[in-house]
Amino acid sequence: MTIAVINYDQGNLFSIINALKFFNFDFIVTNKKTEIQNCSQILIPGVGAYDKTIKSLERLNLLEVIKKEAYNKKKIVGICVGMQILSDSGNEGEWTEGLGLIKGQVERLPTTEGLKIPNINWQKLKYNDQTSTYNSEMVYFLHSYFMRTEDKNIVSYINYGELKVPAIVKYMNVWGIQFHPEKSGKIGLAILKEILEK
Amino acid sequence: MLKKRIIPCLDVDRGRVVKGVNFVDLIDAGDPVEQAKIYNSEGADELCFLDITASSDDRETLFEVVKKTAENCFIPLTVGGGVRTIDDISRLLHHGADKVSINTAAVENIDLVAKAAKKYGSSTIVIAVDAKKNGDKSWNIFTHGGRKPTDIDALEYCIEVANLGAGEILLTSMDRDGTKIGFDNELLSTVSSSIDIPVIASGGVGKLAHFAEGVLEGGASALLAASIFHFGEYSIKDVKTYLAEQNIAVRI
Repeated sequence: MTIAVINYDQGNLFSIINALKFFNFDFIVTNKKTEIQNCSQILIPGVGAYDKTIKSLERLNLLEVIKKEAYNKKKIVGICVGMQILSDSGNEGEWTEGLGLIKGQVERLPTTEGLKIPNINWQKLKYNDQTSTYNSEMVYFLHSYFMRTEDKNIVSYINYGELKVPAIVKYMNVWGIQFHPEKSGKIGLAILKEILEK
Repeated sequence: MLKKRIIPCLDVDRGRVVKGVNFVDLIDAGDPVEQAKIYNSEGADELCFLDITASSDDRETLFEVVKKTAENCFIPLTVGGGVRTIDDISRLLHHGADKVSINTAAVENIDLVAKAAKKYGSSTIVIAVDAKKNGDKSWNIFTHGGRKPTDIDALEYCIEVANLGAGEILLTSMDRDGTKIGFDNELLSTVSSSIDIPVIASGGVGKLAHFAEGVLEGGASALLAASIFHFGEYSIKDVKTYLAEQNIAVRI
């Protein structure tokens, strides 16, 4: 079981690689089509803007590869902006079409009285399945945009004022994590491990 | 209510902690990695390294320190001090920093803020501002580690960098820094009420009550402190327990 960590020359890979090493996961860092196809799952890390991320993947001819592997039921895990680009579109920077693997749009967090943007906070996860081990655990968020998606795609969320901001989304074999599991202490690492091992 | 972040800051010179922590069980008190591990286990919400290495030749050691710390601490790490170019930012990020703080270089070249935010995302870029009072509700900023005065108004500057895409302001009061008489809450509230991005309070904390004041009077989103932790007066836990008792939300 090898994880393909997508290297698109923009994301900061250090932390996520460090977390994978911590668990002794078998992984490669790559932007080569055949290597990605040969791996059993794909991890898309993320630091940066939606439009820039999509453009980088486009330049590397990876958009179609990722989509195709997702349709072939390979597990895809996106983190932060890597999660956001799983959606249909985003309006960070220029309006950009996303991978379209999870129905939804990425928009800027609404200006809300008493709340700051970016949302840089340790926040309590609320799982739709309240029996989840990680319900009410706190993890680290650092983002200005969020994915607007249907409730059935939301595994867990946080409250941002009145708004439900998805924390973990899932559609079939595609997973997205808005927060930084690799920067959320032991809990974050456990959540990441569980998703990668599912 | 959102949790207020508690951020211990370590001054690093040539890869060694200068204002060190007097932890009893610390084998090497000058090793930033060891100190970071302890803060991590005590429940710090983030860590901050301020590199005060004077010579650029000696700066290489910082990258190794950042890397080793990031390998051992699974919480966010902000690194600042001497960051001048996009390349500096890139190198720090590749060595495991999660956020990079820019001070003098942003004042001298304001375009750097927009460029950095565009390239790495706003949430990666912290702008550090050293401000000194020069009149009623008016502060000027200083550069070069507080040595060089400017005639730039602190509030106007903070608004400008926020508009250019800075993700956070690390706001240090030069009047209060090292005094232990509390944050300059007037400065903090003036800035935090005028911008949408988070403000990290810095400079002047000397007792537990000061942390609460920074939140309640200053409106800070996060509280940074150095010496109060370094000399073992209070632990991260003490601060968090105290804030929780004052009904200020923290991660415990």
